[in-house]
Amino acid sequence: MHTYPSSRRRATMLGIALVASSALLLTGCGRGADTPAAGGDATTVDDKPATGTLEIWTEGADGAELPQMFDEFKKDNPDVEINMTQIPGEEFASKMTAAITAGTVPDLIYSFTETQASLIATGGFDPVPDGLVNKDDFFEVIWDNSVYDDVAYGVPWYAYADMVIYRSDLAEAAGAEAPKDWDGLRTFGEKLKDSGVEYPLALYAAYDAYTARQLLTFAKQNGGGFISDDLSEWTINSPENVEALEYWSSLIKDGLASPDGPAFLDTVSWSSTGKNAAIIDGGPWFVGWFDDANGEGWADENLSLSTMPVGPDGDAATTVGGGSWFVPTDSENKDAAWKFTRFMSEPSSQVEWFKIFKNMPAVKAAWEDPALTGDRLLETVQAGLETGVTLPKVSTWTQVGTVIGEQMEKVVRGGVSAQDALDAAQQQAESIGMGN
Amino acid sequence: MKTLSPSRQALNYTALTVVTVFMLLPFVWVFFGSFKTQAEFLGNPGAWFPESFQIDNYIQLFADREFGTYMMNSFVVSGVAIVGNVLFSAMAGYALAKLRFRGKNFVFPLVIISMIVPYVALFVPQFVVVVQMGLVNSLVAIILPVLILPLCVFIMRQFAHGVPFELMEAARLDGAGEGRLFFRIFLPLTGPGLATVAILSFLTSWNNFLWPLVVAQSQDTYTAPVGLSVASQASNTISFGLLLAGAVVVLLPILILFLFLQKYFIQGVATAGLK
Repeated sequence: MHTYPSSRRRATMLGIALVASSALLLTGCGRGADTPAAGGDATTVDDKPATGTLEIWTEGADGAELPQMFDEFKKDNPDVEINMTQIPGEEFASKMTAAITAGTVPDLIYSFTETQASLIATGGFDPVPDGLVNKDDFFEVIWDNSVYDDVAYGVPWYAYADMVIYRSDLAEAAGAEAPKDWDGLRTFGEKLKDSGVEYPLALYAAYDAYTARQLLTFAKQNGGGFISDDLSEWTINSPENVEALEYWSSLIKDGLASPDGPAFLDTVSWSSTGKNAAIIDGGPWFVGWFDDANGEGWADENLSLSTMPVGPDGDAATTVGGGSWFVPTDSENKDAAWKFTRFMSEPSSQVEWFKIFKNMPAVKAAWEDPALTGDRLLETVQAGLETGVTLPKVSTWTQVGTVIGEQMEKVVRGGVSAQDALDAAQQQAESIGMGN
Repeated sequence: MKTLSPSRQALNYTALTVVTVFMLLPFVWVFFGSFKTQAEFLGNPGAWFPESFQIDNYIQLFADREFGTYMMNSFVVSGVAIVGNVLFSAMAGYALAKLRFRGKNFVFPLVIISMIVPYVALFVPQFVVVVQMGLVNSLVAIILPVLILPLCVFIMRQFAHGVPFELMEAARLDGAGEGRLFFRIFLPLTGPGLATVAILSFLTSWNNFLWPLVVAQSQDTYTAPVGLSVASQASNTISFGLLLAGAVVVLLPILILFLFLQKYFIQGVATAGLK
């Protein structure tokens, strides 16, 4: 006979279900209660050759070519064996979080700037050993990205900065000069618009954390920022940020940029066909993509590059990215892991890696190598790295960034004022918190 | 039965054709995109047809990468998942619908609850369990969580309610034991349900990305979706042609299975909620 549970039994079952769900969720948090500083102690790394087996997990495309660097490392460290596993970038943080919780970590990983905050927040990584590298050798912005509470957890191994990439032929025909500041960017866009370019400026219009990152750069150029210096509170709706959003959205509202694109994949085709004349805050990889699409040499012939424009008071700020090496606290061969990290941060290794994969060095001295000098793309990136801005270093940044991106969309599509949009973003960010 | 007028029929067919074509368009783009070069993607990403059909993406997929291994792993995982779900969810459905036992009314809500809890909240504790069992980095670990899916148990329980008690009682009177009742009476009468379970369990295990990624600690144990994600990122930019070629290859087994079982599947989905 089929019986239905009484209300009391239903309540009991509901209670059990809630307890079970909560237990699972809490277990899923892993080391969430730990602070980054709860990671292992810094170890001392000597100059003897590395030994044993070194397990490396790689994220994204870089891993495919990395074994070429292993060969270099093994010349001076013949007794070390390196095993590498490539992990798809999409869920790298999820995999690492699970591995840290279960203690099944590799000896060494690298993480891109966007995911470093959430990984370090797990408390599962060791501080960089004293004396392993000299922090002054690196671009400050990329070094600072993995510093929490004055403790460095990562050693940078490459860095890049965004820029303005524009069609020199179209700019010349319109009588427009490379934009140096906010007024110059607007004038640049207006002249190209008058000359017949449908949407002169390409801005990120995908409305996610990357869109918010673009606003952060404009906000910094205006003396603003999204988070207080001590990372204790969000400052999203500050007057400087509101002004920056008003400026950014005015470029779209006035028809100098389109709210509908170009999206990531059609950025190259929009510029190649002249529908758009300049990629603002574009990554250096776009230049190579133009050659891929239009033939070798096309970029040299048709494109000019310049650093990001400065704000009304001359403040410079550039979006940067890159990657750093991290050693999990439960690593079984920290000695070899740090030695490989040290090797990868040597200027000669950084130059070698640039030759192999075109990733740009995080170590300033490597930029003086003949392989990197005299290249306009590299010179623009190098200048941008000096004025780079870091993302808010809290584990909730991606969530908050997405909220900011959504509010930016409401400004350009929904007629919401910049002030109201950022007030709403501030409110939501405060409810999301800092993740600690 | 009421028949539709020819004009109404034509209207229906036209509407269905339009909807079908609309739904197939993304797959058409994926299929033709798998024959494009990277330059074509960057130059004109919206184009429907490749300038010249080239099969380099497929050659590269199988020649340069360990994609064959990833596919084989996926087949093993999905094959075992089908067998496991068909057998175990049928057993669970049979027990929940046809047998009387203590705690029966407690077990079924638990099955429903396990369907409600978001997977992201489960995979870390699930991973810890697998690690403690010493199964990490094995196909067994990938298979275990999909060996008996709550949704399949739910479906089979609903189907089991449709099997007449009288038939079971008659067999019992003739001396049939529970094993004979299950295999000789129950299973043959729940064919559409079993087909639905087979397809759903195959889809779930075949498309599973996060769990195999977390469990597989070396590339030897990657399944096709995980391996495809790695293979498409093997250069400084995403190789879109390679990604789409992989998507076509990964899609084929699903398509073939559905074509073979669609009659039962549709019957199963249409009737599962009515029992």
